[in-house]
Amino acid sequence: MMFKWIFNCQEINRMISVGMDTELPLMQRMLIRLHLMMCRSCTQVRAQLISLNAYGRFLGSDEAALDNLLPLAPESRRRMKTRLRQARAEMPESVADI
Amino acid sequence: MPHNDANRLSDDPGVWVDRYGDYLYGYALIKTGDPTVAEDLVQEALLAALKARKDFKKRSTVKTWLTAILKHKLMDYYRKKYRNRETESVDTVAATPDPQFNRRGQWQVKPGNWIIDPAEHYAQKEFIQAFLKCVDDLPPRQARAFTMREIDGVSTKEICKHLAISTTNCWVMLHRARLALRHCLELNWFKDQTGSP
Repeated sequence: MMFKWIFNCQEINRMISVGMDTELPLMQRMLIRLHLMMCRSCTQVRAQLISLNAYGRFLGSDEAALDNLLPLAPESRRRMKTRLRQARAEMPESVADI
Repeated sequence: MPHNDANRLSDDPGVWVDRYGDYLYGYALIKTGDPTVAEDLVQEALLAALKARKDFKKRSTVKTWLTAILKHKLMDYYRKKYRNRETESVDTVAATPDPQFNRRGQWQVKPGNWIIDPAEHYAQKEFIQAFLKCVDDLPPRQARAFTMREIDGVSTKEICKHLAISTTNCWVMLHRARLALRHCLELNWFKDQTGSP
């Protein structure tokens, strides 16, 4: 029954994607493997999806990259500092002085 | 920055911008994909931190504390953004044919021969921007699901709860998001490597 999907790239890709979120049943894993043996496009896309997943994890984790790669524009930085210092100055003395 | 400053909160909030501004901004930009929104959120977070700075405990670092406040602001932002988005239901997503495939489920255009290479792309500013632009171009809930899953590493179960959809629908969303993102990167970044035989 499931073998009708063996030549269906869309269905195979759906399974590959679900396989990235949960463990697939053995039958589906076999289907994917068989399909990939015959299909260069899906083999390529699977590698791309895996690299996409790894890249997402990198963005979510690497603090150094964030510091260096996406800095605030100088103008934004200035604006933000002015706004914050203004807010600080407007605070009642008792709160501002700690 | 001296090492022992990590858990010392400066009296001047301008210094916070200098020390943690880039980090917080990068963090917000990666989650929202929108420079203006990211900047506003960082400012809101820092203003909130200023009001609440008596609550800062030296147990954590300033960076961790500020990031936690920013996370709250991000959650508020998402709540507002998705409140009126019932139109983009999962049924619509599942029922809309994926233009990348023909009716028999074969690729319309052969996928290109590329991969995101750590050595080449990870530290490249233009690539991050192209990637975030592609995420931003996704339908909002797909973008959110993708960011939560792939960048925040949240479990599918939690994402379903957050978006109030079933697990199966969650998978549909994620699957569509991944393929659409792949396609977008191929068109916009890897265009010279498309059309492999």
